[in-house]
Amino acid sequence: MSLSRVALRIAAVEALKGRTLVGPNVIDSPNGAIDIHADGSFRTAKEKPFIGIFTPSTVAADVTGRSLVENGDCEIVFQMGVSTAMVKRDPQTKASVLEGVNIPASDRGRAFYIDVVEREIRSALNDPANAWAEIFRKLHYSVRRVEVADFQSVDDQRLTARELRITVELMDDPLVGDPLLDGSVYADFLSALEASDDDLYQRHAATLRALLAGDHGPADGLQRLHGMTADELMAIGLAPFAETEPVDFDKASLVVNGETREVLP
Amino acid sequence: MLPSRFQQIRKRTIAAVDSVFAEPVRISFLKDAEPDLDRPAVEISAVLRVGRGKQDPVSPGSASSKGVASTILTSSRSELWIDARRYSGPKLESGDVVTAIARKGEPDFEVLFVDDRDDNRIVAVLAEV
Repeated sequence: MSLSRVALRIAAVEALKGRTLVGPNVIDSPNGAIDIHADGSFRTAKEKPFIGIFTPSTVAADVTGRSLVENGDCEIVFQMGVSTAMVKRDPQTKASVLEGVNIPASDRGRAFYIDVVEREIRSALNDPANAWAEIFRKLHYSVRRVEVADFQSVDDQRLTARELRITVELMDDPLVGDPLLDGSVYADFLSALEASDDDLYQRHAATLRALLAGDHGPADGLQRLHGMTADELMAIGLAPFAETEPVDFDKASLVVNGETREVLP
Repeated sequence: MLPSRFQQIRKRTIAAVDSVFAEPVRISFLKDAEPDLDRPAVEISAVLRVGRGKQDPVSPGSASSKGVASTILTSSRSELWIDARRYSGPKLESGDVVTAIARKGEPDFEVLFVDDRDDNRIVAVLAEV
């Protein structure tokens, strides 16, 4: 898992909360089942139409040297769905209405709802006024592909769902010891995490800062960037001189172009 | 047409089963998720069997892509077995809602499809709702 990828995903989650019909129900990498209780109880915030965000795969081809910070193409997947169990139902007539678009939750009503949510995702991610979306945009150089695929459930529930899969050219990771300059996306991202109300994000920020902390000289940074061995660094003439004890001398001579010069201590 | 001997036996068996296992349910008829005014709601006594839940990923991937990162939803299939000969209400359609009024919380179920080929039983296959 690269740092750019986790930053991309968290930025996407925060950029979408409250910006679409699903409201706050934007979930980061859901792994357990979303379980709707069948006892007629009030639907909690989780048992509603959702957007689930994953970053399931990244491919970096043509990597320079042995670089492990080049991220290449990363897929970020937005799954959005509404099942009939997630919809508000009138207790008397049992008619169901999709909130936000105010239409009955028929098949075409749900399909329209999902179309609206997809459009809202696309708008929110490129919204100049959305601070988290700005961080999201700074974390990738370009969008390579956008794929959309629909899914319906076949067994046991009426589900309308869609997957929006965006392949982005993800920014390379920073190195250990890289300074996080003001205005750089990592500095912005860590500040935004620390400024959020979510205690978990603040702990994430502390961990990420610790992962990046350190110091390196210029040659060390190059070595880390391309995964060079010490011999390779020496071969390109950037290896630091070996530190030796200073030698006391009375007289030394230097030969330059056949001419001998004397060197004084 | 005279009923066959088999049908007579079945009729008595179904009545006996229902006398033990049936429970009151209300069926609300909907068209395109709105109340269908041509079919007013009825309350009948029928056998409702609720299945065990299962979980499935929400994903357009193929069935063999187990473990692919995806949102997972649970669902359970239930069935409502109605005595066809004694049912006089409107025809059930996909999308109608069955409410188990005698159960705690009065849970609702949505009709996924109706199997009414059998002369004696109308079986509505239900999803949780």
